[in-house]
Amino acid sequence: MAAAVTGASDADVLDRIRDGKLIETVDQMSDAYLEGIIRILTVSADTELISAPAYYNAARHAPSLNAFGSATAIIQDELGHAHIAYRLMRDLGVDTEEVIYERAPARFKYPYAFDVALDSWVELVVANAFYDRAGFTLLGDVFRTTTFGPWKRALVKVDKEETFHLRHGENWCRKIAQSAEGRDELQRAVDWMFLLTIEWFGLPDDLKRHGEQLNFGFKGQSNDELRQTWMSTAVPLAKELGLEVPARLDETSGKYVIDCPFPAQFDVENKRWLLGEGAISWDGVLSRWKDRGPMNEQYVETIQRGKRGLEQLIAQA
Amino acid sequence: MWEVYARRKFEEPLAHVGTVAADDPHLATVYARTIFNEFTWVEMVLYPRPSSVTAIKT
Repeated sequence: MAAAVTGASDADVLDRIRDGKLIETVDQMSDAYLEGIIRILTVSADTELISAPAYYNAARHAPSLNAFGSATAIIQDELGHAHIAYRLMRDLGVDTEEVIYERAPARFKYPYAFDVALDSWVELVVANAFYDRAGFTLLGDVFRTTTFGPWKRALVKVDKEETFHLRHGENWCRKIAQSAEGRDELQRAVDWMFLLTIEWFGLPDDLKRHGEQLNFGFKGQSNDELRQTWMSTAVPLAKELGLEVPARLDETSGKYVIDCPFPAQFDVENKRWLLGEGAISWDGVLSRWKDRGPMNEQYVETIQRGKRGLEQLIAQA
Repeated sequence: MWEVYARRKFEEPLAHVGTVAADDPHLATVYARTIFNEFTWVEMVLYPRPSSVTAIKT
């Protein structure tokens, strides 16, 4: 991925951070800092972008015009967040037109969870409650701790809107959970979506690469700490709704523990975890992520075809 | 490239809220109003980035 020419060494960057200054421009970055910040921004931008077609697929099942309006407002927010992150990448020398419109679908860097179709309104609002909570957890941490000034300032708006999305999910879940049938449907969604969100936070700390994410202060919490932060509000929400999730608070350690084989094999066609087969290695999970899931090509095509169509129209003129 | 400034109240100064990329000011205006719609602003102004002059940099 092409990038701008940097003007500082790793030691310069670390000195600047120790002085309490933010990194503002490429000439204040080292090659490693630039490469690292582009990597984390790409994941953030791709995740926001792909959430739009994923949410739209499910928003079509909205139970009312008002509900459809709320869902499309969320989709518009997500596209705005994607725009902001890609814009920052452009300032770092990345050809974002190529990244968005010419990259192969399998090379997009967003969580595997979005490759599994959201097929109903219930699944959409659980996604708001779980996936947007994951986004809020990750970006809230970045906002508090990142050393890249332009991203920190941009996240004021993003965090505010992600809070609205997860509240939207929570409020709809509470409404749906009032009936036994509604609670059953929520439970079926939670059964496959909970562990996919737990996976969202990535490799456990003892297997994690990219140490520069913490050293350079791109983010503050480790993957395992972020997973704990997410569970600290997601598990109580599930409990409040009367839903079963495979995680609980361990009173002794004060930490949330996962109560099932994890990581596990996922039957993506039937959207269910094969927990009876026991835990698998993270290599197995990485392999599934690398292959991408069933909706990957369709969602990327949805994003890319508009530009291709316009170019064809202009060429015909 | 356009720098976007806005304010929520008349007694507040304009503050930087983000940037948009667009080839002309009309499209830049549409993008800015659509993307930075998190508040009901009383004023939003766009400046082309090339017009900026750095007076202090630390």
